[in-house]
Amino acid sequence: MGTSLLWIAGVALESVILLRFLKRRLYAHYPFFFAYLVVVWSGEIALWLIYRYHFASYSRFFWADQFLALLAGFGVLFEIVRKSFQRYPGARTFATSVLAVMFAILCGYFVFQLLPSSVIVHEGFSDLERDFRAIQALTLGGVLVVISYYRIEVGRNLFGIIAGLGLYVGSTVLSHGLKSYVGPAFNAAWSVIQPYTYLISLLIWVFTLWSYAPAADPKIPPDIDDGYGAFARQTQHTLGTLKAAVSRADRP
Amino acid sequence: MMQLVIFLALAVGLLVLLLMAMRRQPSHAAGSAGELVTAKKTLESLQLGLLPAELVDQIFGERDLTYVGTIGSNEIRSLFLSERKRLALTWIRRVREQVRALKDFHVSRSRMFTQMSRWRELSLAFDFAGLEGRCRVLQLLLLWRGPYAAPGFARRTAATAGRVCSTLDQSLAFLTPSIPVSLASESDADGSMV
Repeated sequence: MGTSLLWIAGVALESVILLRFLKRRLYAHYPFFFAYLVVVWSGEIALWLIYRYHFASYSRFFWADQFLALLAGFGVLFEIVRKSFQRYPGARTFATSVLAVMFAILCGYFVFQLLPSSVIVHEGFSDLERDFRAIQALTLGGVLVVISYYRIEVGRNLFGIIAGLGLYVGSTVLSHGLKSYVGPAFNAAWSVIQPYTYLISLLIWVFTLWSYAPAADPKIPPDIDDGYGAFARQTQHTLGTLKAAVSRADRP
Repeated sequence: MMQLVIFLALAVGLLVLLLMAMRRQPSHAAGSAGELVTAKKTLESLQLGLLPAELVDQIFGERDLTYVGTIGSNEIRSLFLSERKRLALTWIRRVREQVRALKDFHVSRSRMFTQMSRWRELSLAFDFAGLEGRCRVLQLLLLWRGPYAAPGFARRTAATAGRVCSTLDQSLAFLTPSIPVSLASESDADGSMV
């Protein structure tokens, strides 16, 4: 009963976010996040139907759905970098490097772990998900370091996306780590931590993505010479004042 | 066990970074005229006022303590030590403040450069982090063991700060008015410049 309620609450919150996205046309601003939510939402509906009418194949579909959601999550990371550093080309250079390195690690992992043993499918997927989430956590951490170091304002929407995703990814990595150490005894705690953390993430997204709220433009346009231009104008003004004072002194 | 520690560190690290990002105030300005002048003044105050080797030697060297020791009064000696500790702590606090101000100024500009050099920026980030770390350690040493706890460490901290300053000085060089050679050579007999 409790599990069903959590499930229904999750789908309801996802539906609210999707409806807000459609109503306020947020999908045009955050297409990857919208796609991620569509993947997660449709996956949950499909899983519910499979759970009710074809339970035998539930496990297989569950992991397939998780894998799709995981890949869509990387799209959200790409969106975070693309939108956060839109007006900051210097900081973007750094963040793109972080993302590129992490993507290379992910591809390497995919090649070495998945291709040689294609029988992994669902039994080893828990470990695979943990490792993928760890790579997501590292990438998100790297991007957060760049955002904090360059003191970049990301706006309410993007901050909500980062906070929700960060909370979910962080708790998933933590739970997987504990699960692999404690063993089956952790399953009870796992079934509580995972859905509740996801619900908190969904609530963060509902509040922060209710309407479009982008980051404020930096005061100075991304052309650093403008700063020098203003400085030169200030000097010219000071010089003008000085000249006027000297002229007055010349003519007693 | 090792695996658990790695995953725990990763998860906790991510959550801490999220909290830090929530607390940090974003910076809007990026090299406005006022900011450029303030940064130049900060740099000058560091290079000329706080970091010269003579000043560091005067504060952290034991010459003054030796002189006070010759008076032979324990009361004067302990008064001198507490005053010197206060002075040294003020010095390190001001260096920290100025370095932080310079870092804020630097990142608010460098984030806008399309042609930013990743390696130079990375090395500067490490320099800033290292310098802030050194300042904190020195502050703790001074609080714990008094003004003469680590004179060598203080000198090295000042030298590192000087190195960071000279790197930043290059990016603010255009604010220093250059005096044409022809004018500089036209000095009066008493040495005053024309």
